[in-house]
Amino acid sequence: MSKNKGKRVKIVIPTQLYESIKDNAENIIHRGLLTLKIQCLEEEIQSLERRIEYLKRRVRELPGDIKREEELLNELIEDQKKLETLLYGKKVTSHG
Amino acid sequence: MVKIKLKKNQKTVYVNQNCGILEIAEKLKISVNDAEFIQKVIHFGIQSPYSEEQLIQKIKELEERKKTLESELKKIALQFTPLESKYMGLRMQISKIFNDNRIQVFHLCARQSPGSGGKGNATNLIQKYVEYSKSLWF
Repeated sequence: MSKNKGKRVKIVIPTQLYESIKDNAENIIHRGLLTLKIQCLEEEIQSLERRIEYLKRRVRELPGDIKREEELLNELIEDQKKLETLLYGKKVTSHG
Repeated sequence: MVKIKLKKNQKTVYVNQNCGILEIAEKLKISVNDAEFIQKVIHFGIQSPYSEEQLIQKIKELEERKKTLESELKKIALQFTPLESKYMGLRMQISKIFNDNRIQVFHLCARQSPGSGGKGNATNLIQKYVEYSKSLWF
């Protein structure tokens, strides 16, 4: 951590822009970076909130969806048995 | 603190690496030499009504909020994953059995003599799978 302490990053600025901030350049750049960092964090937070909201909704809905799918699966298994009986004469066994 | 190199149309400013410039640039996938990025940073710096301390405090609060949300996301994902896996497993089973049944229904259709009308059970199944086939769900 201390390795980077004091390391400087070179930034090239157009003269005209520099002239408008020269009295307080580092402070302005620093505040600009912090503001940008806040924006990034706010976007990440919004994205996390959206994902959480979606997952919460799916967790509420999935048990009902699963129940419906299980009923449909049972129905298809029954059809499968009926079809086998009709085609090959196998006995229909009740699904349980 | 600020070291300036005088050039024809540009100035060079050195900022402390600890201020997070490289971290932000990396996150945004841009170079610190990107003029647009630097102009944006300077624009934000000029426009910002807050002091460095206030901005740092805000960042701390947001980082705390982010940590809380990440933890919440992990918890909800633990509930979601097994339910979603079960649901997807059922969908795959349904799709497979439905396709098998549809093939069997084709065989059944082929066996029925034209104009016979078919037996009740067979006709119902044929009609049912013709209707199902119209659904995109499968």
